[in-house]
Amino acid sequence: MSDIAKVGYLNSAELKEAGRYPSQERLAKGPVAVIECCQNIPCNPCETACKFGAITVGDPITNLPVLDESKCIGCGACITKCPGLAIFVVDKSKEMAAVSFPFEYLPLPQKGDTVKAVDRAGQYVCEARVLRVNNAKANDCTPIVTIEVPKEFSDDIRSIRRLNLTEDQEKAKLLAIDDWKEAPDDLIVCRCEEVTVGEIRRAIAEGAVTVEGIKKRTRAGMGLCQGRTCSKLVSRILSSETGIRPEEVKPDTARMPIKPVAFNVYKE
Amino acid sequence: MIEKREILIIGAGPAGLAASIEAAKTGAQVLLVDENDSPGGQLFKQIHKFFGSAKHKAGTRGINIGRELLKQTREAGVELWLSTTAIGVVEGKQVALVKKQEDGTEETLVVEAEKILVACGGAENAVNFDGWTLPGVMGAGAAQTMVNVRRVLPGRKILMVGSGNVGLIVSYQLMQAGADVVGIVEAAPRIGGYCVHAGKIRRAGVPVYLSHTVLHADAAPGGQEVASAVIVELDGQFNPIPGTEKKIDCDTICIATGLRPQVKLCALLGVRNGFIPELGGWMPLHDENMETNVKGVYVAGDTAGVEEASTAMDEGRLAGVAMAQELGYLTCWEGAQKKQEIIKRLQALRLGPFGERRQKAKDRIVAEGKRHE
Amino acid sequence: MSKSVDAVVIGGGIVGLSNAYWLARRGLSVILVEAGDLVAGTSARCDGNNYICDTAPGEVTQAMRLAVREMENLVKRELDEDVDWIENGMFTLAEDEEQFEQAKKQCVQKQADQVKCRLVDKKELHEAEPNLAPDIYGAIEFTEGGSLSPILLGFALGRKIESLGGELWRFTRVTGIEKNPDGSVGKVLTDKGDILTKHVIDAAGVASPAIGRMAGVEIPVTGMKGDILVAESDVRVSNRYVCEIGYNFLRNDMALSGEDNIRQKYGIGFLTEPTGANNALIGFSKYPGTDTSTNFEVTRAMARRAIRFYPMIANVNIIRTYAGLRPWTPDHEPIISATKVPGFYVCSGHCGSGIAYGPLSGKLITQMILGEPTDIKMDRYDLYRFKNELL
Repeated sequence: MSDIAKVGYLNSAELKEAGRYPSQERLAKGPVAVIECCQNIPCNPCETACKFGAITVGDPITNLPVLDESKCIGCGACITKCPGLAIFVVDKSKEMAAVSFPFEYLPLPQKGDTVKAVDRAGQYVCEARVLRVNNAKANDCTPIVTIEVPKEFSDDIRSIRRLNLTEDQEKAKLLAIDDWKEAPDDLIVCRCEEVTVGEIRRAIAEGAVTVEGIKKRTRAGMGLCQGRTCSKLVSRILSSETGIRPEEVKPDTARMPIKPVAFNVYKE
Repeated sequence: MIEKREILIIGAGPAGLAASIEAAKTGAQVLLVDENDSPGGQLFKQIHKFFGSAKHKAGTRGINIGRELLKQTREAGVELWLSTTAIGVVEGKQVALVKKQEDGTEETLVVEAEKILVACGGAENAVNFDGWTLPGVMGAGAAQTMVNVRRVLPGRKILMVGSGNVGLIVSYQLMQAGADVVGIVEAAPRIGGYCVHAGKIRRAGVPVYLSHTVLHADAAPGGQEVASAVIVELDGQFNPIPGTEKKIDCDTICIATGLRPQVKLCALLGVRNGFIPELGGWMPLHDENMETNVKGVYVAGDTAGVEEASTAMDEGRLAGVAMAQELGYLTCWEGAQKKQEIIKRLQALRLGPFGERRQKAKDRIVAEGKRHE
Repeated sequence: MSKSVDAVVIGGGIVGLSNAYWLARRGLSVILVEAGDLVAGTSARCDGNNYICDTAPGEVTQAMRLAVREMENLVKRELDEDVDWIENGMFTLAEDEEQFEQAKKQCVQKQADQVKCRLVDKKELHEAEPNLAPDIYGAIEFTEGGSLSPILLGFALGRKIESLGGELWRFTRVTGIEKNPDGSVGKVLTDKGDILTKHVIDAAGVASPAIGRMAGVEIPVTGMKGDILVAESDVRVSNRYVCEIGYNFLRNDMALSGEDNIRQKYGIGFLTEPTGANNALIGFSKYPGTDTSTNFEVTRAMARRAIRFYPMIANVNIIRTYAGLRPWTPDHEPIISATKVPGFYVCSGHCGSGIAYGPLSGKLITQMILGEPTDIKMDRYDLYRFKNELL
C-alpha cells in the first residue's frame, strides 16, 4: 500500500485491500456510503449522524469508522457531517452508476448539466450528467452533488472539476527550467530594518551568539515590528551557523509596549 | 486610575471565549479583551466544519461555534472590550491596555486582576526565500483573513508553502473563494496535515510537491509583484538539489510554515518559558490547570502551545474553571469534577498519530514547569 | 592552565573597552573580561551625547573638553568605522521668557568658561526645529562635541582592541581576584580559566562594587535608572540633539523644579536624540534603581513631556521602551583611581557620562599604570575622596 501521507488519499484498490470499501454485492444492491477516512484522527460526527446505526467509531474516538453495510441505506446524511468531506455514496444498482459527493464550490452545477468528472487526484475521467444537487438547509452549506457515471469509473470518481476555473487557471503548468540561484548574501531577513542574511552571518562570525547580540550588531529586530517577523529566522540562522541548539537560543527580551502605541495614547 | 476586576482574559479567540464563559457562569467577574474590532479570534476565519466529538461541536463550522460562544458570553454576563490591545505590564498583575473609544480615539487604561488568562494566540512563522519581500507573498493566515473576513481575494493563482492543516485548509478556502491553487510545496517528504484535508485539495486537482521548497519568487520583467516562483527539490538533509528547478506561474505565495506562541506579554508578567519544538518553540510553561509559575497567571490556546481551536476551547474552559475555583466560586469538588471532564475531552483530542505527539509535548510542558518549582 | 597578561580589564561597556583599547594601543598585553556580550549593559541603554554643555566651570569643563577631544580623535582618526558621529550642535530649550532669561545668564557663564555656545532666538530656533511647540521661547546652542551610537562605538572598539592584539573574553564571569603575599593583585579567576596579571581595571559599571569586593575594595557606586522611549523611524522629530534647559541647570540634582510630583520624584525631563537609523530616542528620567525594567508611570510622564516640546510626536508610535542604570557616585564625579590594593584600579561611576568620558578615562588609567604623568589632575577622581563623609 502506498503511503497515504505521500499522496493525500488511498485509491480504490488500496481501500478495498484495507477492507475499507463496501462489497461489490452491496454496491450492486443500491446506494451505500463509502467512508474514505484512513487516519486515526479524533473525530466521530459520522457515527452520530447516522440514524440507522450503520457507522461505528466507538471509544476512543480516534478509531476509524466502521460501516455496517447491511444497515446503511445510502441516505448520505453522513456526507455533510464529515468535517473531512471524506464520505461518498456510490450506487451501482442501475445500468449507470451514481456517485454522490460533497461539493462546497460555487457556482453549483444544475440538475441535467454535463460536467467533468474527476478522480481522487483531480484528474479528468469522463463526462458525467448531474442527477441531483442537494443543498438543503440541514446540509449546513455542504451541498451534495450526485452524478451519473459508467460503473467501471464509479469507484474512482470522487468529484467534478470546479465550474469557475478559467482556462488560464486550468492550464497552469509546472515548467522544468534551469534557473539555479544560491540564496544571495543580500537576502533580507529583517524587513523593517532591511538587514540581510550576509550581515547576520558576519555578526555571528564576529562573535554574536544570541538574538540580542545579532540585534545589537545589525539592528535586526529593532524596527517597527520588534522582531515579530524576523526573530525566528534570526534564531534559525544563529542555530545553523553556530551549532547552538535551538532550545539554547533565547528569545529577545520583551519590552513594553508589545505593540506600537502613539505617544498621545500612551501618555495617559 | 486603575480598574479592578476578578478575572482579566486577554484574547477573545476560542480559548479566551470558552474560558470567560466557564468562569462567568460561576459568578466570577470577568473582563475579556481583544485587539480586534470583533471577537472570535481565528474562529470566524474557520468556515470549515470542526473535527472531534459532539462535545467538541464536531461537524459544526468554526464560524458557527464562534457565534454560539459569543451568545454564551453575553448570557453569562462577560464584560467584553473590543479594539483593546494589551501593551504591557505595569507591575504585578496590572496590565496596560490601549482601548479604542466610541469616537475612534484611543486611551491607555490599566486593569488589575486577581487572575489573568493570556490567550492571545500565535504568530505565523516566516520563510525567507529570495523574493519573499515582493508584494504577493503573505502569510496563509493573512490570506485566510482576506477571503473569509474581509472578502477580498488575495490573488487568482496561489502557491501554498506548507502542507500542514493550515496550508491545506487555507488552500481549500482560497479555491472556494474563487482562486486557484497551483500547488502546495512541502519541505518534508510527507504531507503534514490530515489526509482528509489533503484529499479535498487533491480532488480539486492541486498537486503537492513533497521534499520541495521555494528557491526564489520573481516578478515579471518590469513588474513589481510576484508573477512566478521557482521551486526545487530537497535532499534528505533539506538541501536544495541543483538541476531540479521548476517554474510555476503564480500571483500569490502563501506561507503556512507553522505558528509559534506569542510570548511577549507572558514574559512581561514574569512567566517562565520552555522550548517545546512540537508546539511552536518557546512557550510559557504551565501546570495541569493551565497556571504558570506566576501565581494567578494562566495561559491557554495557541499561547500555551500551538494546537487547534478545539483544544484551545477546552484549555480555555480548564483555565476558566481553575480561576473560578481559586476565587472561591466553585468548591474543590465542583472544580475537580468539571476539570476532570474537560481533561478527558482534551485527552480524546490528543489521541491518534497526530494527537499523541501533542499530548507528549503537553506532558513535557507540565513536567518542565514542575522541574523549576 | 593560566594565561599571563599585563592587564585585565573587567567590563565590556564603553568604559571597559576604552581602557582595553588604550592599554593595547600602548603596547600592553590585555584581556578584557565581560560577563555577557560587548556593550550589553548601560552602554546599550543610554543616549550618545558628547557635547560640552552642562559641566561645572573650570576643571570639570576642561576635563570634558579633553574627553571630547579624545572621543573625536578616536572616532575620526583611530577607528576606521562609522559610529553615526553627528556634530551639528545641540539645543537646550527655554520654555518661556523666564527660562530664557536664565539661559542668557547661563550662556554668558559658559562663554566665560570657554564653552562654545550662543543664544538662539525664537525665530532661528523654530527655523532650525520646525516641529517644536510654537511657544518654546529660545535656546542655547552648544557646538563643541557631537553625538554617536554607543553600540556601534562599542563594537568598533572591540574590533580595534583585537586588531591591536588584545583579547576579548566575552560571556566570561569573574569568580575571584587573588592577591600576592604582598597584597598586590596577582590573578583574576574566571569561569573560563585564570589570568595571571599585575593590573586589574574594574570597569564594570554598576557591577563594579561587586568586582571591587573581590579585591577587598569598597566602591561607592549605585544604580541610577534612566528610561528611554524609542519612536518609530518613519518620522523625523528633531534635527539634532535637543533637551530642555532644566536638564542643564539641575542635571545632577534629584529635585527638579516644577509642580509635577512624578517629575520631581523620578527626575523627569525632556531630551530627544535623532539616531542614524532615524528613530528618535526620548529621555529622560533619573531615580535610584537596581534592574533595567522600565517604569510605566515614568515613561508615561516622559511621553507627556515629549509632547509638550514636540506636539507632532503625539501621533508618532512608541515601538519600545528600555532602561539603563547609570553607575552613580555620591558626588556625581567618576572614580578613575588607583586603590590601596596595588595593581587594582577603578574606572567607574561615570554618572551618565560614561560614553563621553570613556576614551579619556581609559587613557588616564593607562597613564597611571605606565607611571606617566596624567593629562589632568586625578585627585578629583580619586576613590578615597569619599572616605571622610561617606565610607
